[in-house]
Amino acid sequence: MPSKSYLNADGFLGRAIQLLVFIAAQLTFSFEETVANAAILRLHTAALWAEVSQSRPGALHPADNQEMKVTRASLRTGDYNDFDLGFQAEMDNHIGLAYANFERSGCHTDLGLPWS
Amino acid sequence: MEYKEALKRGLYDFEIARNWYRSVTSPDNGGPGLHGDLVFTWIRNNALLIAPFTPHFSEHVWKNILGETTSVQKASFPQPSQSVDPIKLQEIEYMRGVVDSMRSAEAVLSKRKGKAAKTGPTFDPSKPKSARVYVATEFPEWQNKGVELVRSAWNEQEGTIDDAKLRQALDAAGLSKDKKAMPFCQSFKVSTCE
Repeated sequence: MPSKSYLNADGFLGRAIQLLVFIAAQLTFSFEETVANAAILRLHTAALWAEVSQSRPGALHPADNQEMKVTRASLRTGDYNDFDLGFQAEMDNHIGLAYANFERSGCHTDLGLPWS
Repeated sequence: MEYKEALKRGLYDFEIARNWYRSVTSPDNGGPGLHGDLVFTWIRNNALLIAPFTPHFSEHVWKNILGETTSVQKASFPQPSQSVDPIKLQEIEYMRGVVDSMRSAEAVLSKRKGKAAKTGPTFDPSKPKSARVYVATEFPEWQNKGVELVRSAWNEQEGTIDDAKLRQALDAAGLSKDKKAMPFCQSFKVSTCE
């Protein structure tokens, strides 16, 4: 069962890498090491962007070393402007389409899971 | 293939949307900065959308970044905040198109060599860049006319366009040989039928 150490950075990354390699192989049907590495780097960057990385600020983002959790307080609040609304609409659109894709993939019926 | 599509929506397209939002709101570009609520909505939705592919990654984001106490496996699929306004999506699409055409215009200028480079405007990549954007308050006359013609052949109930009727209307307006009007009517026809 997921213990604390299972979810901390070392354990998490190790597991994530194993899993991603597996996923990349499953999804592309032609396993490419470079593809798998790119996927891992992408997730690693995404995690860094979102979380705290004060020890080496901006290591991966020289242009914008804004790790979101650290800088949350300094982010804008208040009413949404047009760009905000556009971004929100895009997010909503992707959520809806991804839902439709998962629906059509039929993964829950294949596995006999009580979803849907 | 649906798995692939779902991954594309939840990870790749989702990141493209965020990157665009980040650059248009960046203070470096004169923007007001990111909106805190939206950033965290994005992080949450992203973690949830790809959770079927990356359970460990999503769990990590869920607990350590979003500070949730239960497992991401127990969370429900993200809900859209409201129904999607297609006009908003088209606005973004249009803005991206404008940026793209500026970039490609710049690329074309920088690639010119020989005679053409001497005669036309000169391009010096070391100088600061600027662009002048003209905004028209109306569509050009011939475009309005084209829209009008396509509309006359539009079948509201079926959502289709009567090709024969459109051809007749174009002939009557003397536009069937027009180099700009014909392709415009065709692409407009295709985009309305979608």
